[in-house]
Order: sequence, then structure tokens, then C-alpha cells
Amino acid sequence: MLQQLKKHTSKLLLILLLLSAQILITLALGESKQWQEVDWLDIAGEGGAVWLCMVWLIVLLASRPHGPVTSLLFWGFSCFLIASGQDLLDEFIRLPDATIWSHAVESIPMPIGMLLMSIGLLHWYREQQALNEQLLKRERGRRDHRRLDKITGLADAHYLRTQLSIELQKARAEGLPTSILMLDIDEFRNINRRLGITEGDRLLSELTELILLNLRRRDLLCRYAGDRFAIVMPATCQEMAVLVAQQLEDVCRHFAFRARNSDSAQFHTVSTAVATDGLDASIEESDVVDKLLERANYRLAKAKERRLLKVA
Amino acid sequence: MHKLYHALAERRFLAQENLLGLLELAQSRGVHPDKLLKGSSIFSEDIEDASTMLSAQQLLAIFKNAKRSFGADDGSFLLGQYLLPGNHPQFASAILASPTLLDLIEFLQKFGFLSQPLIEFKSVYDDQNLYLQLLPVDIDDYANDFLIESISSAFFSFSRWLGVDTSSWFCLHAFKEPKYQEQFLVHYGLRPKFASHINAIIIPRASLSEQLPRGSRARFDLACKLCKQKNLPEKSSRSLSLWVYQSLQDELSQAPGLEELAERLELSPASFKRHLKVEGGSYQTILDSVRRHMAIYYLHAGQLSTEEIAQKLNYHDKHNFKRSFRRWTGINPSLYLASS
Repeated sequence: MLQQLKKHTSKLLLILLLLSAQILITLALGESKQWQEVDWLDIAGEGGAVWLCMVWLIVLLASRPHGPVTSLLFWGFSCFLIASGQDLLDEFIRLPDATIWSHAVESIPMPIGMLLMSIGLLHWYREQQALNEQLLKRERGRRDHRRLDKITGLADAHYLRTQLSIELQKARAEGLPTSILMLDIDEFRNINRRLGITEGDRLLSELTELILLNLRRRDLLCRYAGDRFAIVMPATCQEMAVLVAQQLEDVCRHFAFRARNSDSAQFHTVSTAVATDGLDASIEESDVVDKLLERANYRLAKAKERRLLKVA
Repeated sequence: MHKLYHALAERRFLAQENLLGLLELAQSRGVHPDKLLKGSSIFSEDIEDASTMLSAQQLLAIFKNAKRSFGADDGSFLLGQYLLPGNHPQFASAILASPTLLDLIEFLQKFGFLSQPLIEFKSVYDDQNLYLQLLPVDIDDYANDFLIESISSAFFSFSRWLGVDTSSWFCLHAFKEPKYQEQFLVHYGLRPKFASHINAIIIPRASLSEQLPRGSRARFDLACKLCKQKNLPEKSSRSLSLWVYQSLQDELSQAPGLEELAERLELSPASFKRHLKVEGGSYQTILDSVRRHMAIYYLHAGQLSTEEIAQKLNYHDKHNFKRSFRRWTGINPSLYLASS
């Protein structure tokens, strides 16, 4: 969080400067109230608003990179902060009726802030839509950051199960087949041993990007465990899934991985297996998801065996 | 007389050698070493000193920290990729040349301590299977799950690398099923049976003496000879708990009592108890562990009646045995195999 905030140091300094200027000007123009004149209930309410505004401002900066949306939202919040800050200052400091300072600062920034926030939110919505499009093959319409894998940014096996069960239910009702594709890097253990875990992790994340590029829009890619990936393929028959599997194998085989930024490339093969959920919706099974995954895993183990035999 | 055991708290292991894999893993995952070493009274500065020695107790504590600090579910399995063949030169060259699986297992029993100081490899046979038991040196089957997971996955993947077909193996884990069951499927190649109250790998006897494609009898024998020259097989147990476990297991039908064991060590019963307590156990918990493990073997072998098992384990009658078994596992002996 601190690292992210450091990128926004100039913005934070600016808002601090504005707030101190505001306090100084108000102090210069007015005089402090007596203790008995102070209304503590008002202070609690208005102070809470100021405090929350500051928290939101910091959360906003800590969670977003630079950009137009961040700037709009930041200035919107800042206006809120200044207006409600003035409201709070009025509780401590009495200003002569003739000054328009307090009145102006209390009322002008508020509508400006509203306007900036609204424009900001509109752009934020568009930005989110652009991001959703990019993340489509990673999350398929549901977002749960707790289930994200740190290395590949993909969802984990738990998320796969929930998505697969939703998908299967929908597909069976519509009479469509659903396929699951398992993909596993050959001899990944040796890659980790030879190049170290950091490089192994990097290979995983680069292969993730490569696989994502080669999937169709409706597919969902998850990291199953270790070096095994699972791909949910809605409305896909066995033949189609096998074709995609073959394409992925080809693509991965030709991917030049450069370890530790060295010039020489390394090539890795992957094994794949496909299992398809049939059309028979009349059969009531309790653990369709488990059975489908089990079948795919079993076929993958067989495919690995065949590959080992071929190499030997 | 040679020493019968090393205390668990005796600092006998080079820190750098034994923490190499764990520290590299921590580095690549952005975990600060101090987080791993918390509570072990060792600091990361100490480890930079190549001569720092650690006790098995400290190493066990560090492995328990590892479970918490890695955050991701695959830490133990990734570590497993480093454990075998490991960094000990003679040990590694021997197991890399294992001519058969049986040679590998017998070698692990004799010289496993060179590379895995925290696990005692034990084996028990029945008619069909070999049970390779992974016994942590503090005799705690339940709390060392990170360690057990990493060594099991190391053994599975190393065996497959040697060309063994592991598809007919089984795996028993004492601890409860964690949420990350997929990790086991991918790294072990099978789904272990959890809450089994023992940590063991079950291997069909038929596959033990098959010739392995990468093995070489000559190279294996040579490496074994070198191993024996440089490191005598340990005559003393690696912890007091393990010594007590072994003594009780050897004479289970007439298990020696606490006083008798204390006498063999030339200790007073009070200090014997105190030494055991330092290692986190007691005479009774270790006796329970031995009996529990043996009971589970007999149940798996499926040839003895409950009555006969009770007799073998030195119980007066089967009711006492059944009651104890329920206390250890929460279920009746007759239901143990059917459960989960």
C-alpha cells in the first residue's frame, strides 16, 4: 500500500498544502470560540465526514495507478474534503458575518466535486468495461480476488469447481456439451530444479499469457495446481476440444522461453487431455463436476505415460 | 557403551545445508527469512555463518512456520522437488543409481538421515504390500503436515523419475484433508487417504524388485560403499522419543515399562520423564503411537481378528483395545478401513 501511495506523493502534498492554507486563512480571518459555545454533536458528525473523506482519498490513491480516471476521482474527493473541512472549522472558529470566505468555501467546491466525481465515475465505468473484456478468459463473469493465484493471476481449482458446476447446469438445461481441457508441462520438476523456482514461476506466468491468447472468447482458464492448467470450454464437443488441445500443444512447443534474460531459448512440451460432459440431462448425478475432472485427470496421466514411453 | 540417543534439542545439523531449499523458496516467494525463523531462536544473520548448527527441534519449528508463511498452497510440494536426490553428494549419487525400488527404500532406511534428518523411514511388510512409514523424529504425526507433504511428494516424484509406475500405490496421511486436494493429485499423482492416523506410503510388493531403467547395480554399490566409509550408519536414535518408540516397538508383546526404560538409560524415572517432556512427548503418548501404528498395519493386512490384534498389542482383552482405538482415532477398529 505504501509503495503505491509513493507514486502519488505530489497529489498528497498538494491536498495537504491546500488544507493547511485553508486552516491558516480561516484562523487569520476569524477568532476561536469559547469551549461552552462548541457543539460537540456537530463536531462528531462533521468530523466523521472529514475523516471518512480522507480515508477514501487514501484508499483511492493506494488502489489505482496514475491516469485520467484517478485524477478526476481525486479532485472530486478533494473538493468534498475542503467543503466539509470548512464546515468543521466553523465549529471552532467564528468568522465575522461580513466575510464571504467561509460561505464560499463551504458551498462552491461541493457542486464542483459532485461534477468531477460524476465524470470520473462515468470514465471509471468505461475503464472497467475495457478491463472486463481483457479479463474475460480469466474470470468469466464472476470476480473473487481471494481465489486468485499470485503467480499467474489465474483463478484456482476451487473457483474452477464453482464455475464448472454453474456451467454444467446451464449447459445441460440447454442440451449443450461442455468440455474440460487439462494441460500439464512435461518434466516441470526438472525445470524448477535446473533453473530455480523463480524461473519456474516465470515460465508459468508466460505460458499463461500464451494460452490466453490462443483460447476462444468463451473459454475460462484456471490454474489447477502446480504446473497443471484447466480450461472450461462451454458449448464445445469432444472433437472441437481435442482440436484446441492439439493447437495449444503446438503453440507451447514453439514458445521460446528465455531463462534469466539469456539469449538462448528453451523449448518445453506440454501434455493435454480432454473430457466432455455428454448431453444426457435426464441422468441425475450428484458429483458431475468431480467425475468430469477425475476423467480428465485420468486421461492426462495416461497421456503422460504415453509420452514417457515415446521418449524412452 | 555408545550413546543410545541424541536429544532432539542437540545442535547437530548445519543450518545452511538443511535450510537451503526452504530459504530459496522463501526468497522466490518474497517471504522474509525472519518470518520462517520466528520462534526458533535463530536469526537470518546466523545462517549466513556457514558453521551455524541447528537442532532437529529448531528445524521442525521452522517447517511449521513455513506452512503459515508461504500463503500459497503449493509451498510444501515445491520444496519436495528439492529434497530428493538432495544436496548430499554420496547420498545423491547412490539413490540416483537405485537398481530397484527395494534398494532405494532400504538405502533410505539406513542413510536417509544424511539428507532428511527430520524423518525416520520405517518399513513393515504384509502379504501383498510394503508400508513405508514416514515418522517425524518428534513422533508427532499430526502437526508436521508441511514436512510430511514435502517428503511424500519428493518420494513420489523421485520414484517416477526412476521409472517406477506409481499408479497402484496408496498414501495415508494422519492429518485431516486440507482444502488444496488438487495439489496432491498433481504432485503425488494420486489422492491420499486423510485422517488415517499414520503417515505411510503403501507399495505393492510385486513392484519392489523390478529393474529400474536408470538404475545401475555397480554404481549403486560403489556409492553405498562410499557412503558407509564417510558416514557410519547411525547407531544411536535421532531423538529420545524415537529411541523409546523403537524400544517399545521391538518388544511390543511385553512392552517395557517407564522404569525399565529409564534404567536402561541409567536415568531416574523423574529425569527420564523430564527429558521426554522437553521433546514434547511422554511415555504414554509414545506407547499409544506405537500401538496405533501397529494396529493400523494389522487392520490393513486384514488377517487378524480384533481379539488377536489386542493380544499382539499387549491388551488384556479386545474391549480395552477397542476403547483405546476409539480414543486415538474416534472410530471403532472394524470401521477404520471403511472410513473416508
